[in-house]
Amino acid sequence: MKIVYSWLKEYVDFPYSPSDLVDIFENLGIEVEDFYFAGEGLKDKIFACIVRNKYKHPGYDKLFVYEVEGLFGVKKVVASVADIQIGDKLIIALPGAKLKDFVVQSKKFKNIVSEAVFVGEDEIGVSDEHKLMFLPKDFDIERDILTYLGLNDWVYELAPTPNRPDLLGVIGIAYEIKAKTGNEIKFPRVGFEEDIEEIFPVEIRDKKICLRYTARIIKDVKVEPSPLWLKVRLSLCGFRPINNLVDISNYVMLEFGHPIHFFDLRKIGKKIIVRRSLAGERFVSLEGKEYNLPQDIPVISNENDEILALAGIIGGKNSGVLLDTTDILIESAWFDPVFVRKAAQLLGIDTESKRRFERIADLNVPPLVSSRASYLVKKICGGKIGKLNDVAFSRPKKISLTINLKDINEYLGEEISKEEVLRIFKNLSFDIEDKGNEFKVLVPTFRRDIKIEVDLIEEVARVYGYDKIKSSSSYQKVFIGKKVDKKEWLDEILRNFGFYEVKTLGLVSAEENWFGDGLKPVKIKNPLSVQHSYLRTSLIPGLLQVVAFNVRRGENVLKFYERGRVFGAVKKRDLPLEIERISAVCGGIFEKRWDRSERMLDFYDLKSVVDEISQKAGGFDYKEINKDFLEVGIEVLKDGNPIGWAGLIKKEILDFYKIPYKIYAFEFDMENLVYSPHYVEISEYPPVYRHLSVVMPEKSSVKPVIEIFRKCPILVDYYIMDVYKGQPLKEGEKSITFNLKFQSFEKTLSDKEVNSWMDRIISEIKQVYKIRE
Amino acid sequence: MKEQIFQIKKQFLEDIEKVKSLSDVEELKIKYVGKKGIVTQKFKFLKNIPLEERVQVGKLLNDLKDFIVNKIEDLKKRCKGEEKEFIDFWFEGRSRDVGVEHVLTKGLNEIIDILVQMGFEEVSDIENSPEVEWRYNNFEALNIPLWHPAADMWSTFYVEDEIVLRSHTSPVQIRVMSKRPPPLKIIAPGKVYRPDAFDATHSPVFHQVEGFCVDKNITFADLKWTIEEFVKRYFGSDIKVRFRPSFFPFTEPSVEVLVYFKGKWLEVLGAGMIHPKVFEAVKYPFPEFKGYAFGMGVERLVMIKYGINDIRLFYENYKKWLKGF
Repeated sequence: MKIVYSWLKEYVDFPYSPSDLVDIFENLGIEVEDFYFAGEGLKDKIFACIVRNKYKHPGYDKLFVYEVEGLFGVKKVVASVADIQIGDKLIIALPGAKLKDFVVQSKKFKNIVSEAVFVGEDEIGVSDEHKLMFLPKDFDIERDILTYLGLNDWVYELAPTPNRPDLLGVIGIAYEIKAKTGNEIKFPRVGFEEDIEEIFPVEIRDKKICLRYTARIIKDVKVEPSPLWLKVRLSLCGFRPINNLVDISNYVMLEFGHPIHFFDLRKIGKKIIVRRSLAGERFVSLEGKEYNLPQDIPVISNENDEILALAGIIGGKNSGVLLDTTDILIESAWFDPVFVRKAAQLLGIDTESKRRFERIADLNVPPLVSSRASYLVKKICGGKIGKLNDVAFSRPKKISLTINLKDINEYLGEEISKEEVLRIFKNLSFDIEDKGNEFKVLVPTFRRDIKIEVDLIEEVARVYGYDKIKSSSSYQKVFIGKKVDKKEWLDEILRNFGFYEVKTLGLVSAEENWFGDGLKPVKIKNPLSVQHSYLRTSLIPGLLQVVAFNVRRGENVLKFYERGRVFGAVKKRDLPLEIERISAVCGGIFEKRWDRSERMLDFYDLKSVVDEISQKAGGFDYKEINKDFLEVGIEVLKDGNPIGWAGLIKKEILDFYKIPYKIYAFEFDMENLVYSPHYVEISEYPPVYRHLSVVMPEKSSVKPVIEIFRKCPILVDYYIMDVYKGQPLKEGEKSITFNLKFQSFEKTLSDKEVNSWMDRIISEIKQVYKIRE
Repeated sequence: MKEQIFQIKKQFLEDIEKVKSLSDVEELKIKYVGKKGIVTQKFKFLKNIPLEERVQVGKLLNDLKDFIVNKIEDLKKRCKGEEKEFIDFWFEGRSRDVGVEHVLTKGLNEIIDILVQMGFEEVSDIENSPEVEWRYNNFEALNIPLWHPAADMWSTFYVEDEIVLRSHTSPVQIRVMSKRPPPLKIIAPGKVYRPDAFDATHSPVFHQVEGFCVDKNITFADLKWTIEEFVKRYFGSDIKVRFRPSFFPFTEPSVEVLVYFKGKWLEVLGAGMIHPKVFEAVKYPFPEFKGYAFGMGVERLVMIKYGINDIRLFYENYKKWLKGF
């Protein structure tokens, strides 16, 4: 919400400069989103002038040359407009002036230089109209034109918190300044004589939606454009001036923060009825939008059940004021915040009025606001004012709270004196009964946010100044901090093997649930897009998106991992399962470098990580499995329990992500990955090394060989030295050479002992594969 | 045979440790690759080996000979002291392939470490900090009635009418306090979800760190100290901090904390004294026990500190970008 400096000053005095005021607002907790000079780019660049001479441009048929005079001297203006006469007074902008759409520059029209331009209302933000600004005949052209226009002012864009509906009006903000300064509020004028006796009948059928409705008639008004001051204020506050009646209703709403509505009296019928809608009733808003209403929308209708407005939200096309309106009905009411909010949300309507009613309007002000509007209508549009019909089910009560000084100071941890607290309450316009150390505080009805004692404490702190409260580390209790073990040893392994950690949203599309592996996807009712309409059942889709993105960016080595939660629906009306996982993907191509040749990444790049994790986690077993999403893969087991899988992702899935490489991946549950350091015994006896070459079919596994190795107690370590294919092996065979390390913790091994174990190993292997010696 | 070759190599490696002079080197040369040297002898046996194995053993033997000859040449040079090894110090090292931690993890750990040092206990298990929450814990228990426009401060994804993707980490307050008696001093880092379209400062998914402390005698001044201390440790001790009164339904008084960073005041976290309604929801005795709470956006803090101008970069995960931190 925007307010202007001079307007605020009309209601309360304060010693703050325009820029000081920003700090005051901020210290009071009213966020200032923007702050600027109203005549930005216009100061010393626009002037009043009088036209001294006018003639046709000798070189152009349709251009005129005007010679104008003002504080700036005499200048020539070349323009196409013809209806300016000698002696007219206007506003011109000199080169450098920043108008709405352009910066003024002098321009040469053949031999005549145009040194200025005449300005239109829209170009300096006075209104939306593209209309030349003629000044009154008696205008003193030496006057400061910015001041005359109301642009010698400052605009504040404020963002009050949603608990403060009172700050959606200038008077409410004036009360905040009063809280700070103690200066009294200067209320706007509301006094007038009622000219006619007429009272308009009002019936509130449902007090749940409306606790108070005031109606007043004004007859014989004249609809015209608003006076300049009104247009400028509304424009500066971001409202489009329309006509004097509409402008007054907006102006009064901005003053009091309380919405008000004008009906065209001749269009509404004989009676105002406030009720709930029935399903299927139709309504056309003043913007021309048609609605087929559900039931229970709060509406204003007439005695013929024609809906005239959505109560507190928006007026109807059938009942609004137009240029030919002569008689009006002023509605100033209190509508229920929940009804207004629900209706507006349901119909998708957001208006200034709705925003104020849903934050809870002040039940006390409808008659006052009505009077202010009536006063302005009579002053600006003329007319005869009727009597107020004030139908109220409930009168506002002031909330009474009791609080003592000790509680305030103990809560804040600051020694604030009793005098200071009393002064703050008084400046906040609270009524106080001083009972020694205890105060009874009566809260005015415009402060709907204050309900309990701590709300009062906040008020004291806020006005006293949060910054003035001394921070203190005097609170002595010692707490021992504790960090959750996030198993960072896993990250360490992955990073050491060249995997990049990534963070993805975790929201995926319906078709990306292919890695669910039994988890039922959780669907979001109000997703941002179909791409993000499910919670992930696996980390792999996110990782594949990252792979695809990096491929598009020209990356060839694609090794990524993520840790995070996956989700699976359990049953209706129950929270889904959440499981912590860690996953990695691997693929792409190593380009040639001076120290290595080009090669494709393959499963064994991923297997190094799995081996290392296995070693740190106490040893994995593997079992070949089929999964919908894997070309080939294994289940990874720890102590017989599955903890996840590893393998090659199916090509059709990779095609979906437009990934041109084979991608290998694993996904593990975090829960069973437990860091299990194993103490390495060091034997003082020398090891004995042997080599063993096993010949097996190309497509068979070392698994049976390894299982045989494991049975030998003195075979402490082994690794694969070489894989050989070709002569003298047969086609379809490979030879795998193992380096075996034998060692005892008890003695130096003799050749004989080692040989006997080798013989046993070899004979067992021979039952499966061939041996080469 | 292979075993023997292996043993010879082992023996040779042991022998070169003992070399002290040029004549030692000559001796070594004769011992291994001289006319009657150990390796030379082995070549003679080659013809006795069955054909299918001869190729492989021959290769091993040749490799061994090359290895020994090269090594002996090196030793000679070193003993003569004639030629230093040439090193191009500007040449790039062997291909390295080391991964990186995501900058968000880095930032999150910085934040958690500071707060843990300040005595906070981290809670991030699924039981106490689920990402899919009861609407009640996300809103009503925190004194946010859905009918009030304040609820709009937390736009929220729904799974069912009663189940939401949490739009802040504050529900952890409800879960922890419902289970554990005061005093406590907790931080809860975690992922939160909001239906905000992606732009430079908004992401539908981001991370928060919630903090709260409940005990007797806790005051607003303690809250101020805690926040100031955290901000100083995170941004540096000369950072300027400002407290702006604000509004959160679950704290009273509420405060928005701003820091002056690179010429601008920036909102970095929200905080306040825990609202009596929250204590009511978790059945804590108030005002016997009081507490403060705060919450911060991890992405925002990391963006400010590391000069990242677009939140989307975190979730793009471009390798070159990730590597920069």
